[in-house]
Parts: sequence; structure tokens; C-alpha cells
Amino acid sequence: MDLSINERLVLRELGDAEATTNEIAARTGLKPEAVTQAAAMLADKGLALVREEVEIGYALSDEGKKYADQGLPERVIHDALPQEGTSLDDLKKKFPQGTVNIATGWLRQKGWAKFEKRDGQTILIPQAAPRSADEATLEAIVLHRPAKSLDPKAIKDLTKRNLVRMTEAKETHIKISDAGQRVKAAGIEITEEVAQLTPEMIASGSWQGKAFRRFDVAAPVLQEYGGKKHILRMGIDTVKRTLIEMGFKEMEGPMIDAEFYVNDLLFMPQDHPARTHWDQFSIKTPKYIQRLPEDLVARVSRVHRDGGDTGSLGWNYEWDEMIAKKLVLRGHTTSLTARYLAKHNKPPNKYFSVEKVFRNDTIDQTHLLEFCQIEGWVMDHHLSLRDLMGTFKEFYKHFGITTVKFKPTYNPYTEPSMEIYGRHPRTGRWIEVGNSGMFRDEMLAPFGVECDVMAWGLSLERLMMILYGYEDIRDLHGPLCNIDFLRSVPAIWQQ
Amino acid sequence: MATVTLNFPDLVKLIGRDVTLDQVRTDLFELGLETEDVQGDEVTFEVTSDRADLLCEEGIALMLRAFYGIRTGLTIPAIRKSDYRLIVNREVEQVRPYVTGAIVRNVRFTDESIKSLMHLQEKLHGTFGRKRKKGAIGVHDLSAIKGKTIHYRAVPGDSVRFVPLQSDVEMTLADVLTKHPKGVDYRYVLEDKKLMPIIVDDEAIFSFPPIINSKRTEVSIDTTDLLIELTGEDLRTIDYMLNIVLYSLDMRGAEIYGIDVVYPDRTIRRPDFGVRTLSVDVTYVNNMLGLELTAAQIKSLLERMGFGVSEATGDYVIAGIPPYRSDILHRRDVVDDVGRAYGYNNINPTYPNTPSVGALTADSRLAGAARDIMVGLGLQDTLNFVLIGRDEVSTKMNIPAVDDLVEVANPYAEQYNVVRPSILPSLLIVLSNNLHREYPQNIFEIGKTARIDPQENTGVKEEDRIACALCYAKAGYNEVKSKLQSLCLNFGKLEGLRTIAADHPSYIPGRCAEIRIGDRTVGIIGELNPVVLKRWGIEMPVAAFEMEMSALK
Repeated sequence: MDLSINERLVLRELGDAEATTNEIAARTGLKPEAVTQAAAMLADKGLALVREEVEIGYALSDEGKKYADQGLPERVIHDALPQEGTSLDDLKKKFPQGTVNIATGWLRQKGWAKFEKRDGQTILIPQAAPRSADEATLEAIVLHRPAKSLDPKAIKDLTKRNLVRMTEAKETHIKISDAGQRVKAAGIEITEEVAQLTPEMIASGSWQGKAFRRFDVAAPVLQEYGGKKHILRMGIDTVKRTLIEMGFKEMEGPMIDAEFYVNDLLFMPQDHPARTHWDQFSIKTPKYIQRLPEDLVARVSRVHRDGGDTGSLGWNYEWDEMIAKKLVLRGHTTSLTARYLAKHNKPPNKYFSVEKVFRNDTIDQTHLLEFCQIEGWVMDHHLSLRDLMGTFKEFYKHFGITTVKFKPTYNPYTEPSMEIYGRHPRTGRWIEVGNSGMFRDEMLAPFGVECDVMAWGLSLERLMMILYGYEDIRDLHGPLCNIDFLRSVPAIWQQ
Repeated sequence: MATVTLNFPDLVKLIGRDVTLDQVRTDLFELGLETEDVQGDEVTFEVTSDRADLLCEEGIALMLRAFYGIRTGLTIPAIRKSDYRLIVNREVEQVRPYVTGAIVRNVRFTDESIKSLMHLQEKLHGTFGRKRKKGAIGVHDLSAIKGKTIHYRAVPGDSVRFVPLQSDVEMTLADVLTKHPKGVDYRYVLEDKKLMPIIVDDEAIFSFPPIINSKRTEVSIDTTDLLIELTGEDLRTIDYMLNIVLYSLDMRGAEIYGIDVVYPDRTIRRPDFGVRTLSVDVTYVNNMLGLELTAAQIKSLLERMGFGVSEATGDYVIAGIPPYRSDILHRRDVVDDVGRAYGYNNINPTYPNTPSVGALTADSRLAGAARDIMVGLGLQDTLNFVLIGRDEVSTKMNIPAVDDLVEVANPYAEQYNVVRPSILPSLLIVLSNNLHREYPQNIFEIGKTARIDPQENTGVKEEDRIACALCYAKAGYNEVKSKLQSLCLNFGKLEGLRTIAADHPSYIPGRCAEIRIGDRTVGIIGELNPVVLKRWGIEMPVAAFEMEMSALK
């Protein structure tokens, strides 16, 4: 059986008769606390029997200690009385009034003095004053005599005089068990144990020949958290890595942008419901962008009015540049795509971003005012709906979503357009994971793009909720987060 | 998204073939309509905003009737002749310039069909009609209309009185705008107009578009003959709305009669069921869908979508567009219909071989590297909102006023009314929301901030910043400076790093410094003032720093 050095020392001193902690401490040279701890461990292992008893004791108050040292007031006064006696007034001149007051009562009660009236004065005449029981008891307490041996009457008087108070002490009584006897009989070897390996020990080699104290390796320890990437950031990083592996370059650009880039370049008519304050956040200060590129403005204005040279009917209204100049918080990162198309209008191109977008929505379990959109586009000759579908299959395969299906939908700037549905790997439910399409001629023509562009926007938070089963989007994004959740949520590594 | 609720047994009757609800739901999904709800026989589908023609049961039936091959190709209802004329007076040009309409006879309303018509009207107003601004519909009992010449006019708001629907008292037009619930809802359309549009017969006004009809011409389930008028800002829009309404009535067996709409400079006959055509190349279709269809296959697919195809010879088809399809702006839109008829999910995905090399932006790489260092220093990464409250970035930080804040015009709530100029307040929100969770709470964020800056074209400077906050009983200046130092060390900025004593109202005097790297002040560091902590309800010391990410470049 594994026993620590303390346990071995204690066990060696145990016998069939009970001993107290202090007794064992004295015999082993251990501190009483160490004995108590070792005894408890031995008891756990069935080697010792431990019994706790409450012991009554008595202790002196500060006043009691003073009297034990100097004598009770009545003894002090008695010993000062001359044979012929002295007046109370004289006594009060020689001793503090308090001492005199306490002493006179007890002198009378104990019969240590006679009180006579002479010429209107009280005279105290000393009498025989054998050592009283309370004096003996005070001394016995000072000498730590067992409580049981003390005179109960004296204890009562002393307690009443606030010179003594009762104390309760727990005393541990330890004796050896049968199993302990067997271990002891087999012999207990005492070797020095190392608690903490120190640099000095390593240097000097003093640890050699010593045993290391065995630890309870199953015991709980402090929970450490350390630093960690935010769970959504892990998701963002995973998505970015996947898209980079697929050959996409990252885009960057303003969150606060003119409607021109957010809406007008995307062939969104200026009276489109998504452009109202119900849907998008507009900026109060500053209100407008300073300049828009003139040539692009002219082409966009025309394509909205009558389709320009694209063969489209257009939206049949007078386009207003001031509306296009209004600043908004982008409702999608397609604004970045618009800005990049203006610079990169010759194929081949593959771009992406994973950035914040803003919608004036009601905040709830599945909606936030700002969330991360995964935006991507490919520009090349002869791209088809098949290629768009294949790109999604490839992307979602990286996240373990192998079954996807498509639903035709409508976006003002893409045609054909389709929503992508993924089958949840565990529940098997179909969930919308994104929106996509082939950019319209009305969108591409103003940029001078003369080939196909396919594009998509996916919600990162939605993907994360599907992949990892999170139920409340507010846990994933924003300052209402629960720090314990962030600390304990498993790291993302699986695909 | 707009929805349409239909009665399934009634839909089956209109389609004219026995079909199960499951089948219809599957087919509609493939055609682009997702089921939103099923309540017994009442089924609700989501309709995308381009397909106003699908906002009624009849429209869906019309589509499915063609799709199931029961009646493919174009459906063009007969237009009979009537003597009705709608005269457009010149004054309406400044008020609400366009009007259109038709007469419909032998309508046999049922509970289902009258409800469907009313819903359609409401849905068209809400979507295509842009809350009645762009177009609004009035349906009247023709038998209550006096005479056959109807005038569309504009008059002063107090010059005409009538009893509107949902009322029993006579009101002026101006009264209707302030007292009638529909007036209150839609008066915004007529804001700033000197005159009010009205429609009158030989007797008096019977419509106050786009607000309300008169009680005199109210339609009931017993009404058999209708006058339908539409007014609006765009003729194309109201003509499509008219066609959609007429097709739905035609599906129910009513007869349509044309009218002359007489503008000051021209007369047009309405309704117009003229078929616009688009020539679409076979290769164009196949390139876009990734298919190898023949002209004949394209023809048959388009006919199943209700298109007419007059020619399908070899390398192109000529597609006739149904008169209710307002969404066909371009031949690309025709290809989409070919794709839907073929079934998107019948197309085999391929991965394009467009050559390209992937890459992150420099800022992205920098933020990623800095985040790794901070995490290594034992800090929990956070990801907070860019939108924040003015109060959170000023009063709560003990900063009297921030004057270069980018302000949202229509905030969702006060705590989201500005774009954050710095990151630290976001971290304090996190700390104040986690008061009862285990300390230390040592957190950071690298993210976007924004301030007004007239130097920028948008008028806003957006900047990546980093902030770090240590929060525990012994968190202090030295602890947080040591984090800053480690960060700088890892970006080769330790040599240039200096902390110069500074005063900032958010921090404890004497325990606050400007962060300088080289000659540039790039941030601030210190122990947060207890005044600030108190305002956030944080009862634990916080030491923090914040600086520009570009300082690490």
C-alpha cells in the first residue's frame, strides 16, 4: 500500500490505545495539523480508527489572568490590613476604588475581615484567611489541569465574576485498526520523501535515493482557460482558408458606402423595397459621398432608365444621382464586388470576402443587425449555372455538407438566380444556406464586362449554426456573449 | 417576402387535373415558390417580388396548368368591345399622371373568388404598386356607374364631397386624408400635391385614387359587372397590374371588355394583351444553363412556362412573352424560364476550371497574425458589433462629447445609433455582461471603427484597431503594458515603443499614457477610472490599451 512519509510516521506510533493528535505530534515531531491530515488518510485506507471528541475546558479572561498573577483583590486587601485594622477611607486612599469595592464584598463573604463602626467610620479588622477554593482553581487552570479535576463551585463563582470562561475543543483520538496492525507488523520503512523537486536538488543531485511523494493524480485541479480565438472568428478563418484553397482572392472596402455601390450598380431600382429605411440603415452624418465616377454614373443612369445597349427594357424611370450618393451601412458585400468589378473587368477573376453587412431587422434568435456575409464571384468566358452549382458543391463539401439542392429565386442583379439548400448532416433537414446567380447584363455592361460573372452571398452565422448546432445567433456574435461559452466551446477543426 | 395563400381544393379545380398537395409543393419549389405554411386546405407560399402575377391563386393555377401540359403556350383572353371611355384631364399630369382600366362582365363571384380578388388587390398595392404610390387599383360595381364617359381629373381638396367606403358620412377629399383610416395610411402619396386626383361619372365622384372608392360603387358578392380603374406614376406598372387582375378574373370565367383611355394627346385601347417577342439564340440558352438543348426542346420548355414560341428553327427561338409577365426585361429572363421548366436540380454540377491563385489582403494577414499573438498572451478574442450607442462611447467613458461620430439616421435602438469610433467600449459591454462569471476576464478585439473625415471620399475614415482589457482584482497598468510590449515585440516595434504620460478622462490620472511608435501617437493605455467602471457597473479593476492596427505594419 502506498503511504506517504507522514502516514508512515503516524502509523508507526499508533497502538491499540487511543492517543490524541498532540500526543502523536509530540512522538513523531510532526505538526498537529500534519498528524490530523495523515490520520485522516490512514483512516480512508482503513489503517486507523479516528474518533473526534469535544472536550470542555476553562480559560482565564484578561482580568482572571491578572488576578492569577497578582492575587484576587480580597487577598491583596486582606494582606495589606494591619492587625489593629484600618478604616475604609484609608484603604480607598491606598488602593483604587474599584479594587476596594470588589474586595470588601468578598472579604465579608469569605469572613476574612470584620467590619466595625467606630466614630462614624467603618474599620476593617483582618481575620484568618486560608487559601480558598477559587484561588486554588485559578492556579489549576493556569497549570492546565484537566477540567474534570476542577471544583465545580469555584468554577461557578469564577465564571460569575467573569474571571473564567468555558471553552470547547475538538480532540482527535486515534488508534490503529486490525489492518493497520498487519501493515505495521510487516514493517514500516521510513525514508525521506521529496514534495517539490527544486532546481537546487537537480543541480546537487540530492534527490537521489529519496522517494517522491505520491500525488493523488485523480484529484481535481484548477480550470485554466488561457487565450482563444472567438468561435465565429474560427469559422471565418475556416471559410477564408477554404476559399483561398479554391483559388479566390480576398476583397476589402468600406462598410459605410454610397447607395451607388450598394444598390444602383446592382441594377436595384431606386424605389425597390429593400432600399427603404425599413431594410437598410442610412447615415445621418455624413449624409452623402463626395464624388461618384462620372462615366459609370452616366452608364448606370441609362441602364436603369431604358436598359442602355443591353437589350433590356430597364426600369423605366428617371434615375436620381442624389439618391445614389446617399451613404448607407452596406446591406450586402456585393458593394465590394461592384467596386472590384470596376477595377477588374477582364477575365479570369475569382474574388471573395467574409465581411460584415447590416440589415434593419428585428433582433432575435436568428437575426442580428449586423452579421458576416460570405461573398464570392468568378469572372470567365462561358460560365454557366452548372459551374455555379459545382462551385457550391465543392465549397460545401469542405464543411461536410455533401447534399445540396437549388431553388430558383429572384435578385434584381442576377438571372438566373438560385437559393442553395444544404441538408443538415445530423438532422437531415433542408436549410437555406445562401443566395446566388449569374450577374445580369444590366449590371455588367456599365463596368464594360464582356463575359460571364457568377456570384453568391452566404450567411456565415447561418452556416455555423447548421454545422455546429448553435441555437442562438446572439451567442455567436456581439457583446452580449457569454464569456463562459467562448471559453468552453470546442475548437473548430473538422470539415 | 410576399406570400400567397390559396385554397388547395379550389386550386385543383382551376388547374383541371387531380394532383396531390405534396406534388404541387415539390413542383412549386422547383419553380421557385417555397411553402411557408399549411393549415388544412389553406396553403401559403412565398412569392419573389418579380412575380406579381403569382400573388393570387388564379396566377398559380395558370402557371401549373401550363407546366402540367394541360394547356401550354400563351393564354390570351378575348377582349370584347365596349362603349366606355376614360377621359384624362390635363391637370392630372402634375398629380398622378397615368390611368388605365377595363370593364369585366358576367363575373360570378364565389366566397373564394371574391376573397382572392381582394387579396390580390392588396398584395399588388403592397409590392408592385409600391404601397399604392406607383400604382393603385379601384374595382367598382359597373351597374352603379352613371353614363359611359368617365373622367380622370384633379381638383382642390375641399371642392368635392362624397361618402367613402367604410363610412356613412359625406366628406371632402381633405377630410378623407385626415379622418379616414385609408386616408391616414396613404396620404403620403399625395403629399405636396396642390390638387387631388378623382374619377367621376355623369353623376359625381366615385373614386379618390389611390386612397379610397366611393360607397356608391361598392362591390358585393352579387356584383356581376365591374369597372376596374388603375392610376399611378408609371403606365407600364399599372398596365401589368391590370393584366394580372384581368387574367385572374378570366380564369374564373368572366368576360373582358376594352375601353378607350383618352389622353390629351393620344387615345390608347385598354387592356393591352399585346405579346412582346424576344429572339433568343439556342447557344445563348445552352451556355447560360450548361445544357445542350435543341430549339425544339427550348420551345416545348417555354410553352410549359406559358410562353408562346412562334419560331424554333435551328439556332434561335422567338419567344412570345405572356402579357402578365412584368419581370421579363431581357432575353436572359427567358433563359431563366427555360431553366426552371427543365428543373435546376436536373442540371449536373461541374466545377469551373477558371485559373486563379488565392490570397488574403495585407490587412487580413496583419489582423490574423496579431490575433494569434494576443491569444498566445492568454487573451480571449471577442467579436463585437460595429454599431454602438452614443452614450456608450461618450458618457459611459466619461468623455463629455465625441464630435466626429458617424451617426445612423434610422437606428434600430439607441444603443445602436452610431458606428463605434473605438473598440474599448465594446469590450466594456462584454465585461459588464459577464459580471458573475469567473475572473480574470482578459479580452481583446481587432476590428473596424469609423470616424467622420472630410479627407475621405465617403466622408468617413474606417480604421482597423486593436483593444485589450484586463479585468481582475490585481489588473493594473504594468500588467497591460506588458501585453502591449509583447505585441510590439512580435511586430518588431519594441524599439520604437514609448509610453508618454497623458491625461484622458476615461483613465486614472497618473496612470495613463499615449502610445507612441516612432514619432507617431497611435493609441492610449492606462487603468480605467473608477468613475467609468462605476458607470458600466464593473466592480473589478480594468487596465486597457487601444491602438491603430496600422502601427504594427
